[in-house]
Amino acid sequence: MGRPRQPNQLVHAGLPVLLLLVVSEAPVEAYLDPGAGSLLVQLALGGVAAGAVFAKLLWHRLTLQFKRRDSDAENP
Amino acid sequence: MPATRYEPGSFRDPAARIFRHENRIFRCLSADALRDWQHLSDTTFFSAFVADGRLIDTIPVDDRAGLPELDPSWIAVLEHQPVPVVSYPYEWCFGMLRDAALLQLDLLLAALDEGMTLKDATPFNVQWFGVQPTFIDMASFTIAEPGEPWVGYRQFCQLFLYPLLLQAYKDVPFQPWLRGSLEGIEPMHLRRVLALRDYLRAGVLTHVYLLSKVQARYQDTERDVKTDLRRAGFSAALVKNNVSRMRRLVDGLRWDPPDSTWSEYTTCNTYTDGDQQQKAAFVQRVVGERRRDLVWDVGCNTGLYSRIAAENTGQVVAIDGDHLAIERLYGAVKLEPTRNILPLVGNVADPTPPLGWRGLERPALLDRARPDLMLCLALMHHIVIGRNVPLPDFVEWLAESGAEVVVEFVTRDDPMVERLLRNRDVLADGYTIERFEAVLFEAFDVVAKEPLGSGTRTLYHGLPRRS
Repeated sequence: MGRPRQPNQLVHAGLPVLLLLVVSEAPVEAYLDPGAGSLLVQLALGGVAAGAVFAKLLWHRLTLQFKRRDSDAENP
Repeated sequence: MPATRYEPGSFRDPAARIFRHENRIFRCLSADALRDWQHLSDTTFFSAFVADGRLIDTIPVDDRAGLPELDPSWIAVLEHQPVPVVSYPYEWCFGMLRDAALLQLDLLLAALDEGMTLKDATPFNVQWFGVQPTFIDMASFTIAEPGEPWVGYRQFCQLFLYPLLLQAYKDVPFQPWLRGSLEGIEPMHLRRVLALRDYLRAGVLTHVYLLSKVQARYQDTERDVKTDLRRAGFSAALVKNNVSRMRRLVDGLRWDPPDSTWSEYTTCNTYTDGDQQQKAAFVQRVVGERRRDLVWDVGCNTGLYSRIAAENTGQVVAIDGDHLAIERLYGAVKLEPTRNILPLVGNVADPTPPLGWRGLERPALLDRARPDLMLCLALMHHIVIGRNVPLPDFVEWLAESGAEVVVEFVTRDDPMVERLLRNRDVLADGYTIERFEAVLFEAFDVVAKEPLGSGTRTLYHGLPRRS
């Protein structure tokens, strides 16, 4: 009570690695390079709320894979 | 008209540059930076942080007449209140770095509440008015893009969190690490010095282990993680959550030096009470002669003479090579009304060198803060005997500073010097008061000399000879 719930760090440790399967490819622009790894770790730190974002990322990536396959099948 | 000379250390963010003009500090802004500044100056947190001294006082310059000609790409200019002495994180103690980190996080949290963020997270953006940390880089604030993660997270870890963890968890001084790399400590390097049991300590598993692993594996990825996170609904609320957690972590960090260090510290003072009163009166007289802008108290220890000097000086820089002494002084001065003592960790036998791009980005301390008066009390024997610096070289160093000096000679009969000389008697041959006076009187006009009651110590007040 009172103290905020700590995230299960071990569970979250695998999250960024999974995340890398679902991100697309494009250049990053900023004066300070935040580093892809540091951005992904922020999802692992984000606890339950970040889980929803992760699920959405995963969903986008999966649907993208299927779309690509359909497109490949139509244009062999 | 000659080209404007920008501050060599202000090049990193292309949206703004700093220049000095007639001892005033200006920041020129690009179109993007101007948009951000206008947004910032309308926020409620901006006025609140400026009011309590946590943000540097800043005004827009409407009339640029009298200022040097600027490149047309700079479409606006701000003027900042000058900082008394510019200092760098490798000169701060643990408590100072932690307070600077908390300021950085508090500003970010306040900015997020009003639709802004900070584009970086470096302690070089924090300076000090005495022991009050002040954030100086207005161009760091930018309007937050929807779904943007915390861009400065890795930089915060490398330059704030890891040095603090190193000191708090391993009792390893962070200053040499930060002095060794202006980018801070790499996650991988910190991970390698941590033991298995350290992984149970707060913050290590995620901010060190996980970050180092993910970063090392994917540092060359071309994937646009930022855009993907935005599309997936990453929000300011998530960033805020992460920053709040980081704040709790940093706030809970403590440096508890081993007991032996503390006890040695409290017993190493060998002065008699009479000597101490006499020294205090001597310093009081010199300081009371006239108001000076900047006084260095080198080897300040508990800051007794810094406090005396602060009564009639613009700014006192209290320097000691003992991190623990500075940590204690910082903690003590924070509780006092004095607001013009800046405690710094520094060793005159190994001073902070110029660092960074072309050796100009982060100048040496003496080039940032040339003193009007240097107090060197109970210092010389540590340098001359403890560090083997020849006695004439020490006096030459005093003279090169261009400052007035108050210097104390401690004879070899003194218990402190005896301790330094144990097993090293060969060094004592040239260490005599006659030899010291010969070189001192040649380089300075000595206007006061006072032997202390104990008979082993003598004070001198010297004015530099202008050649």
